[in-house]
Amino acid sequence: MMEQILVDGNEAVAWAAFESNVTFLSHYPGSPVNKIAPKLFELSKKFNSEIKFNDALNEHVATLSAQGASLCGARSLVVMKHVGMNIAADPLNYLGLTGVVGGMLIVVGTDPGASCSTGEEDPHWYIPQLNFPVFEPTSVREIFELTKKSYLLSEKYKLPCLMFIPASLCNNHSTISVSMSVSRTVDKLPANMFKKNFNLYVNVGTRSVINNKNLFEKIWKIAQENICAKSFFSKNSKIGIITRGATFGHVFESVERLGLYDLIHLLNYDLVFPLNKDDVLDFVSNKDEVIVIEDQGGFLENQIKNLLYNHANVKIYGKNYFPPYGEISFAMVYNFLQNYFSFTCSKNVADSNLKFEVPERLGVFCEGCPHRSSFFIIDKVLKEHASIGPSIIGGDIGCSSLPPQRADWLLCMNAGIGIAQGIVQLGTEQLVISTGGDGSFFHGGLISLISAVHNKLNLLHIVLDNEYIAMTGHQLSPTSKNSTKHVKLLKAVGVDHVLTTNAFRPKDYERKLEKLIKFSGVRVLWVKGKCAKMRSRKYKEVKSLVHPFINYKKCGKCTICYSELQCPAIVKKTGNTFSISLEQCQRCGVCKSICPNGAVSRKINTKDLFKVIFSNGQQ
Amino acid sequence: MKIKKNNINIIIAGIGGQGVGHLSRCLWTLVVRSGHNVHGSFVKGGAQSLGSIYSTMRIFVDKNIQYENYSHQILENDLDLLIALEPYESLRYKNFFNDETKIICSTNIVKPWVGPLENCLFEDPVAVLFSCGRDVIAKDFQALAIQKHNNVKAAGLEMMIIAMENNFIPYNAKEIKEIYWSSLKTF
Ligand code: SF4
Ligand code: SF4
Repeated sequence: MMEQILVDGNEAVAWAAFESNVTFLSHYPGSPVNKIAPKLFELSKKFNSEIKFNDALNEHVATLSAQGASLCGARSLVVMKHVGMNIAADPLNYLGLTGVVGGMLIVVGTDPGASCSTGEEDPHWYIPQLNFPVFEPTSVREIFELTKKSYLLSEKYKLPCLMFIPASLCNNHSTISVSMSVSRTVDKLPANMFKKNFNLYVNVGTRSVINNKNLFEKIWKIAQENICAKSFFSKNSKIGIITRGATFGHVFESVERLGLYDLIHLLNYDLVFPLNKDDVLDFVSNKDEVIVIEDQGGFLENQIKNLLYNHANVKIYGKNYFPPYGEISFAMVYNFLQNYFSFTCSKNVADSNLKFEVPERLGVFCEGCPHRSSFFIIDKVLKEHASIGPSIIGGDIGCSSLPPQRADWLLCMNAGIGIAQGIVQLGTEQLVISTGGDGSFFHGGLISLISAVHNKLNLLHIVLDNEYIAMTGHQLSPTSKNSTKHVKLLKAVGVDHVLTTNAFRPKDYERKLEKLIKFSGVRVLWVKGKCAKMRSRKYKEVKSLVHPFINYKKCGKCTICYSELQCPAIVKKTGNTFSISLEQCQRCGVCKSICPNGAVSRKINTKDLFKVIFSNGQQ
Repeated sequence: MKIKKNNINIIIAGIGGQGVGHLSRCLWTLVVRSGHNVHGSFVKGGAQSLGSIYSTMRIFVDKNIQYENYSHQILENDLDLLIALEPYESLRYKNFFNDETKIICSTNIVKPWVGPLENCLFEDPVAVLFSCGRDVIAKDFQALAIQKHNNVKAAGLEMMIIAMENNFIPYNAKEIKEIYWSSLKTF
């Protein structure tokens, strides 16, 4: 029985993968594609289908494990965000050479405009090196359809497929038609397991060159045999526009609204690599000008220019009109077309009477977040060491980077511990502390730390262990269930000094940090402190019985709790007086611990508190 | 040249934790159930809570329109309805207002954390909104939600009901209530 359901871009991938009989998913969570794995997991449970999930600790492992499954004949899905491709680049470069047995799709979430990432890196430039077919859907429904199609293409040519989905489409919604009864024809793992293939899988010496040659031939064949594109409006027009991904909708609607039907021939490529040369030649054959409108760098424009070089007499434009950075917006395309055709109709500009600036909300930690306390203490300790020059604090991406002003750099994962190594190796007198979350630590930080041990560096690293990969949807981390013994692990790899503290005990934290600063060698302060969003039910019950407040008589108006701890639950009143918003406060107790005047007190309903504490149930 | 428009453009804005995502998904569901088409986007940004969040919705009542070929974004000056759960967040979308734009805004102010730049805050953001000269319905919907449902997050629902009762969008308040409460756990 088919049913129309409302899904977002992530859910569309999951549904299509499920209906395509995918039996292996590996991923490293990252926005905007962080909801694919949970949705597929939900579907596998709902329909009682056997799917293996590999919650890999980085994208390198995610890719290789899916390759292993694919070589055993399973259809596999790998999910990562754009920057994850850097980590996966090494195995991705071999995937085309070995080829696949079971169909394999790598879904990469892109982020033009960096709406949910530290950077908007354009992953398209990997494509000519990897030589995989690449799909770019223009709508949620197309995500669903192209995901299915990619498995067929992957198995036909024994190559993995890539799909790039921008954040705007991942979070868009549409209806798709799915089967609510038996959606899959395969509910078991494949019976055919790994078959040896020396020539393909042992990629050394002359074989690696032969495999590379075969890969080029395959991609050429795919280009000859496949065109996946759609075209609209006037075929006879002298002006062509070519798009890929999200810019298609902006152009389509602009043409309709401006009534440019007769003036423009629009072509969108869904399969953006490899392109069929004859198809491109055919499109441009009667054109004077072709404008390629695409987000980020001019990947499509470059390809088209390469294909047409010496073959067509047509002007190709693109990045000379649209920037290679930021997201190309609907307004940019609409206004460009108005200008291009010199219309005098009302331009889409804002009302000039509304010229005020609205202050941006800077990133903040949630109320009760362990990282707030951490950075408060780190700042405090660093200030005390300021006499030896400005201290340096290396930051890491994830929740610990939410208030961006807290660290001296925020770049890729583990940039904190990595860059710090070069700085300390130069023997700076400055105090250098690198920070990183538990997710980052297991993603690549551990290797950086071992490298520091190997090079006998003088490095102080703080692991901010909130027990989850919180930023991307609270996926489990190796520390979530206390399954990783961090002290044993760090001692075993040769770290000189390891201390453990708790973010919600500022005094202990400060003492231990001071102690490690005095030591030399590789030092790690492991800071426990559960993410405020993942508190247990019991904690929440206790919360309602504890009412912190600021005692005005004791408050010295030093503003430390407000301006330095920066807890959003502490609200400024007139004349530098403060109060605690009980609705927002998470009862973490940090403001109480750090107030130098003892002005934060609590009213506690002791009778009920004991009842809750000693009742059975979740801790 | 005549500029054509065949859809209803809505922005729902607020800050993390106010239920913008849930409310948007409820309206999306209602639109689809009513036999119309909708697309748009939900933009959460990097922050976990207290960051600006918004969703855009473009509703196509005419089934024959190839809505999936349309942009998921809304053009400046082309907004029909703004539901803002916080006054600063209503002002953030001022460039999308046109003379006809309807605005429903909750007056409960959550000052943006701006660090030392406190003088960039407005003395009264609600007054600034009224000074924009648009059709504004403003009241403390959070207080209303607590009073009616003992649930501050239901503020968005109350605002949506107002939008429907005033015929800003062609849907039934009873149905949105039903979807909202029945989907609290599933969305
Ligand atoms: S989600 Fe958790 S770790 Fe992230 S900012 Fe909020 S409390 Fe902190
Ligand atoms: S007000 Fe104090 S106890 Fe409450 S969340 Fe903020 S720091 Fe923690």
